Amino acid sequence: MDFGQLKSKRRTLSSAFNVNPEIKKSVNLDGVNGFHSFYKMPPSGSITLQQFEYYALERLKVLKAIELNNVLKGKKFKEYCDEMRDEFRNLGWQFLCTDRLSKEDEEKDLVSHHILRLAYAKSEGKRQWFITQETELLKLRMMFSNSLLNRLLEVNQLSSNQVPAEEINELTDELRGCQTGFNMANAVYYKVDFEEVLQLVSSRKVYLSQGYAYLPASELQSFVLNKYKIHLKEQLAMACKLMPGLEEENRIMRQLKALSGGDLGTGYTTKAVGDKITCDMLDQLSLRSYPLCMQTLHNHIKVKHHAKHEGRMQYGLFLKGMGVSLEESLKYWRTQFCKGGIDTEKFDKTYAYNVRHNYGKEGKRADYSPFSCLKIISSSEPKGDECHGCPYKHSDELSLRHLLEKRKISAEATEEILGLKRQGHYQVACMSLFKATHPKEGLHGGLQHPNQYFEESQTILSGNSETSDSKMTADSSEKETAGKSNDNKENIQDIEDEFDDEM
Amino acid sequence: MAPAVEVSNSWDSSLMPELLPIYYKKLFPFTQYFKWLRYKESGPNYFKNREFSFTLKDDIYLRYRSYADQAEMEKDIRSKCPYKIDIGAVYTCSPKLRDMVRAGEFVAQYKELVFDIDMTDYDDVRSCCSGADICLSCWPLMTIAIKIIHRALTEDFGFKHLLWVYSGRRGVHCWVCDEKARKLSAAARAAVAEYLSLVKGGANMKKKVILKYNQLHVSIRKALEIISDYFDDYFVNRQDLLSTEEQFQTLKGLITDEQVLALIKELEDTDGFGETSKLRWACLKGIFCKRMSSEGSVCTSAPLHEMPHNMKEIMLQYTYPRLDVNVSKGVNHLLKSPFCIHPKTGRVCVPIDINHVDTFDPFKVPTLHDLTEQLAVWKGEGNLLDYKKTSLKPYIESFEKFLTTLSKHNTESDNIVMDTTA
Ligand code: SF4
Ligand SMILES: [Zn+2]
Repeated sequence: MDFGQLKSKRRTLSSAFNVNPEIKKSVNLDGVNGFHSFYKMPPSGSITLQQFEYYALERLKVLKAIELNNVLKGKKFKEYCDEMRDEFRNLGWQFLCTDRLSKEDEEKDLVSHHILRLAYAKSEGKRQWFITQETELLKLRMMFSNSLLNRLLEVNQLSSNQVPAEEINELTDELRGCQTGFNMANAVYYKVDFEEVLQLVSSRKVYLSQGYAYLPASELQSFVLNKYKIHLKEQLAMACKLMPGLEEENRIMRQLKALSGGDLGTGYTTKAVGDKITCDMLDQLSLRSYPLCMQTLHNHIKVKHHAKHEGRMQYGLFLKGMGVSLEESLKYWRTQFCKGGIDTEKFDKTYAYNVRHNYGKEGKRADYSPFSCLKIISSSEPKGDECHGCPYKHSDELSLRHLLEKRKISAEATEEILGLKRQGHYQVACMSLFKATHPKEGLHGGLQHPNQYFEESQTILSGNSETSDSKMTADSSEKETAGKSNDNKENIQDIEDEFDDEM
Repeated sequence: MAPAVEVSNSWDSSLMPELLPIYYKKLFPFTQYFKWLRYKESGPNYFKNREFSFTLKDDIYLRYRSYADQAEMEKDIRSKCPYKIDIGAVYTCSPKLRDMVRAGEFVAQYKELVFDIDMTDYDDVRSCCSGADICLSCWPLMTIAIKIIHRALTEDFGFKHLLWVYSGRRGVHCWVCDEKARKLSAAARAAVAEYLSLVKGGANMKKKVILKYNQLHVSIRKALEIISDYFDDYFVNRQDLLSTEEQFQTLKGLITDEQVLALIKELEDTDGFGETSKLRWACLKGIFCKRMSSEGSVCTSAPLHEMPHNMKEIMLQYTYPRLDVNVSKGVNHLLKSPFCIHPKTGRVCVPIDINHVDTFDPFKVPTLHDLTEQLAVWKGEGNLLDYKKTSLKPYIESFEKFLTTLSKHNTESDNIVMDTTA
């Protein structure tokens, strides 16, 4: 490696790490011995490129392991902890499970964390992924270490906010209403600003009065985790701002990109749009090859001749992903909506824009990706009489049973699917339906995307057994664009929604 | 079905181009409006960096407008005569100059915490109308929503400056103007909105409210206390929601309590429920009371909010506020400004006085047409401010009342700052 490169790398690293504004929040998470991930302090000194790459890849493996185990939830918590402990050991990161870190371990922890911060700072979706896994990692570390939580609380000086016993006495009813297993005898509460415990606020697991949350001692752990999340978010946003300045440092950037690039597993590249699929084929296709989410939407539109914004997005982009051309899409929506009493003129004025927008022909002209399962499952829930979303998650058991009955699968298969739904394994449930409705083969290597479901179904049904794995493992540069357009999409959707008011 | 209230709305939206200039020239309360959005204590740039956006005739959007002061704003609004004005965020720099700064340096920083409650989200629990239509039979849903959310925002979150506004057609908006609210992060806004959301799920989720057995968050308990003041009248008299077999089945589909189901069966096999909403609802309440007695509580006619938890779920599904969470979440989300005219109804988006929310009648809100008529026929004293000659007067006064507490509170906090520096 030549010196020039080394020098530039050093500059890159240190300048990037040196973005560390004061944290305004009252609670301080830094300065806890041996926990560099909380960092304000960036690593100093320099490391070789090999080390750089090695550390980062190692940590990435740890985070991926966490993600994987997280996806397959439904395990007993204890079981999960044990498994993760083994995982860390196998990966050579057993120090994550201990209180005492050697100097080397500390460096490894610190440096790798910071490299990945940079790698994942670039796009919103990636940041989110990184933060989720890192937070889960801290949670595990708190499980493994007896003293960590206490040390963190000490630094946060929480004890001064403890709620006096008399007040707890008066609030017995209120506090009991927020917490299962409330026990007056050992009730210890801390009064904190509601902004410090947003998760508890959104799930109504905390008593609020005049802007203060009464935090039970049992929730201290999630309190710390939440602080950590916010802290990371701020740090990543900061790093992101700095990134454009680093763009010219090619080698590093390439490496960082490669690190974060292919690893999200949710990108999907739209098929070259052709005129293969026309809209009169959709009924037929929906019967055999649609996943339940899209089938539900398709049938809903067929009956009601209407769908609300979210539903139009979800189905419209799926159609695009199938390779339905813009013209055919327009034709489909127009026919349906007209049957629902919306005349062509109104359609062209109000809805056609949306359809073209999905195809990147309006607004910012971004080419939007069809929604992945993750997005469908985790983002906006249907309300009222909307029917977008994932039926395994967003339907009650009875409705799901009805939907499955129409697919004419065996009673066992139905029960299996309902069982999986109950445990929250939505994508696995979806794969079960695939298996039950297709000869022999199941889906290749997990289900991430409704369009993947569709394509694999088509491949099997048309007797063409060439796998479409390549689709999902497109090279990282392509993913990069997919990720980007995803971001744009959110922006644009924002803008659209901003105007989605009554007119 | 409840008698739908006939609304003789003589509004003709083609009058907009003719009447809007008069409205903006004589009636729109610029002074008060400016006094509000200036937020004196927050520094001189607060108003300058605020985004306004217009919707002109034929749905032409103009975004990112901003003004140095009241005069500039007045001039622009009067010359463009927007059909709709939206208020956006306060940005890091003046929105009209956004092209002159680097991308990434034009960022939405502050905005009131806002809520949007829209009657279309209640279509599955209204028998009277659907979609964009409203009537006096369904309006109580808004009254209930306002009361519940107002209570939670003031008591639970400690906010003091809430401006409730009629959206001009089928819903209401809430602007929380406390400094703390204006500074909230997107995540905090989402959390507050989630805290206030209870009814979950779409067409394929029949039971949309599921409470934990034996554990009721105090905010929901208090919501139920509010709901029980309205429920019988709303459910039976105004909506008549159990008159058809289908409606009755829908409700029975929400009952999960085994004992209650057994009691229902028993009654169906003997005397039956009767045919009207009133009878059916009375029988159901009786059954739930019986259920309570079997739990040990004495009960002949319990107040609704003390009914067993399955009954609570039912009442909440029918009447608990349904927020559009997306509107609340984003700092940069635009929301229609108070005192706009709704182009479809011609009505002014007037503030709703929380102390008189029960008597607020959306059909009595003046239309642009009413107002200009009133101006034209005014015979009284000549040098009165124009709005005082019209039925807009009480609404502007209620807005002024809101402004007085807002500024009083702010001067108080100014004093505190001065004290500490002295
Ligand atoms: S798992 Fe994915 S493909 Fe299957 S129904 Fe849900 S969102 Fe659709
Ligand atoms: Zn109505």
